[in-house]
Amino acid sequence: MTSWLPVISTLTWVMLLFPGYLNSSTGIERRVKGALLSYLTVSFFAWISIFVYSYLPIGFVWLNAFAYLSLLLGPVLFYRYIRALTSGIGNDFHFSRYHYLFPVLISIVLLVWSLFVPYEVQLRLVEGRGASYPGWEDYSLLFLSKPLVRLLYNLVYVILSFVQLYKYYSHLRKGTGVGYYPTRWMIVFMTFAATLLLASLVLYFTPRGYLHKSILFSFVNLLFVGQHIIQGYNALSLNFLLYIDHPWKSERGRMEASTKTKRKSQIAERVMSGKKKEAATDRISVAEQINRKQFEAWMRKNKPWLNPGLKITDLLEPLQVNRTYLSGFINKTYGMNFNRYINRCRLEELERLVHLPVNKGKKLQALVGMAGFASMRNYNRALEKASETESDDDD
Amino acid sequence: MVQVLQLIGFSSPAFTSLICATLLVLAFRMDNNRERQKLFRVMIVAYCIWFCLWLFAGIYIFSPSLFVYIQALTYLFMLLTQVLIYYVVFLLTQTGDDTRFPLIHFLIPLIIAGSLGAWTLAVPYPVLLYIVESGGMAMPGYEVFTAFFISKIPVFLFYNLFYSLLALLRIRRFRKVITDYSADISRSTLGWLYLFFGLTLTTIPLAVMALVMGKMAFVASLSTLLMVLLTMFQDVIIAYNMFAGNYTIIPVIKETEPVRDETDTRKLNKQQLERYMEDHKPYLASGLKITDMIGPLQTNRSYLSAFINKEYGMNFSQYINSYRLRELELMREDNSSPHQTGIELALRAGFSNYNGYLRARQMADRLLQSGSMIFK
Repeated sequence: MTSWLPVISTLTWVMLLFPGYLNSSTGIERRVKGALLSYLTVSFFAWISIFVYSYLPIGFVWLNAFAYLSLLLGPVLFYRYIRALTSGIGNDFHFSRYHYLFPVLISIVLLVWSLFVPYEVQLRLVEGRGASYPGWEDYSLLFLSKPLVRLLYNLVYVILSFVQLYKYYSHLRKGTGVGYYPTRWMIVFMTFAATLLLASLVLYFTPRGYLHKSILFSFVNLLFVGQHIIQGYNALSLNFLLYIDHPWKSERGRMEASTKTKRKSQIAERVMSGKKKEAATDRISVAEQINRKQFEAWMRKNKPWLNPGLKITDLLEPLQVNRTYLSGFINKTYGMNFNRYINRCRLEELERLVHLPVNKGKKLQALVGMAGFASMRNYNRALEKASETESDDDD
Repeated sequence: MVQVLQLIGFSSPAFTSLICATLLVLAFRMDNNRERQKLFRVMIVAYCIWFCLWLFAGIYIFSPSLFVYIQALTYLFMLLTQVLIYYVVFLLTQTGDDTRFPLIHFLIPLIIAGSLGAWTLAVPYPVLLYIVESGGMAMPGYEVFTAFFISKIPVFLFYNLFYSLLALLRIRRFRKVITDYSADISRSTLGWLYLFFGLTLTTIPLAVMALVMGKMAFVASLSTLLMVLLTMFQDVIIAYNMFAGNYTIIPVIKETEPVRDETDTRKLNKQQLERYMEDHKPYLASGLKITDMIGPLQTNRSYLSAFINKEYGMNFSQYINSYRLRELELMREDNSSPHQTGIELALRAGFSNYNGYLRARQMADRLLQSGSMIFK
């Protein structure tokens, strides 16, 4: 009965992800949620087919070709999901339609051929659990080829997924020379994927009649449920950062950054003081490299420091750089870390505000807030630190 | 085959509750916000109880002898779920007055279930088993007890109805207040909570129908299927919206803390306010609350709210959103960044998501018809 669990799991996650998908505010969010939704939807049908096969053979005859389609599309869409996840570093997301070709073709062939095969033959094939039907050997071969072809697809596409991830992390490494490591959830997730692959290999050799009684089968079902949770949770939290800059650092900082980024949208929302109605291009159109002049011009125009909750990740999209690069850039250029740099900007802003005639007589507390400090305490701390030399973490 | 269908019928909503609970547990561990953690904690408990209920329902069908032992607990859980969800609504719809949740809501189910449990101890096992297996028939001499025993479902339906109505009333009251506090339409109006209770109210007649027509298996199973699907959908509505933070909790106004500039409240005039809006553009922040503006404007919350009402004939939310809509129009005409999509522009104008922008447009159209827009 555990084969029913992934059915519910996929259905629940589709319902959880769908509204978020419609409300996506960035390209990568839409791509990842969309890819995950298609993967889960197809998986839903695949799991229903498997369940029907075990418990309602009569029904399976009708689902036959459709089952084949969803069984093969599953691994394809899993790979597509991995591609979407790794599309965040500016690569264009092209997923070739040819991946769908063979599954669609073979399902159509099966469907059409089945129209000419008597119902009893098909029913016997399902109930016979792998035995060929005398007189219809060719058809039987096609009908019964599902597990093998599914296994091959699984193999090929999971391997492709690993290759894609390898390319992704190498690309990151090449960019800055710093080591990039997968986040913990990615490691867990891909371990699940590898385990499932091995398990499906073993299950291939299990006689079909005993499938739904096998412990390994139940284990596989539960593993899938776990995989859905990992995928769904990270998609919902907009956790598209797949790397950390040193091995297995706590993921808490990452999660907080992602949730906050979601709250404010990746285009930094801020209370702007003194923003004129001029055209402000929010992006510096160089990829992965910025120079000081451009950076300062952009900062002056957009004043991201006015946002008290500003995180370094809020600047990555508009500046089109990755986090370690920006962090290193600020370090090198200004000799301090991101937080201290931003607070310095805020202190300068406060200086400016205090001297404006319109602010005469205003309480310091109000001006401190207008300059982008979250509280008086933050302001006092920034004042202290401005006279020290210290190297902190960026968060 | 029937057994398989029944098993599916029970395990599906049970498992959905479990998944939703897992989602909230994961979010709970990653979040530092105390209010959010409290909300999540209550909801996680509710989901777990809900999960147990479906389990018990399965036990009722498949193992009546076991069900006898947990039937009082079942009664407790059935009523408790309604109370807990109402408690969540209570937490989400606070309007700044520091009222505590009346404990009597929790006490009544405890008393009812407790009494049933205590009475059960005095009743012989065969009588209990007979009640369960026969679907509610009483052995002679135990008619009153049996009536108490099978009162579960009618009382549960009553609780369903009663608490749904209470919740809807609270939400309605909240919506009137929130428009004077926050301008983030999509995140503060709790439309999803309306939907949730609306669905509950529609399942009540379905449940009644399933009970009454118990004999007609087909009709019963169709409405049961519908109910199962609706329950799953409801679980997801709550989990998703709580996770996404589609609510705005109005903080309690502390009476002891002196309102800033109590003695110094300069009366606002229209020019002052409008100049502040033009210069500082506070509306670009999607999470803007009225309390964010009282500092710079040197006034207090009730005064500012009343001022906007009087001078412009609209509430804070409408006021801020009309500025945002105008900003969006200006950004569109200003063709310097043509490659920005509609969503990106809306976000820059201060809407928290595209949905919020659409709702603001609707609201503005309605205002336009009544003639009270600031910018025509």
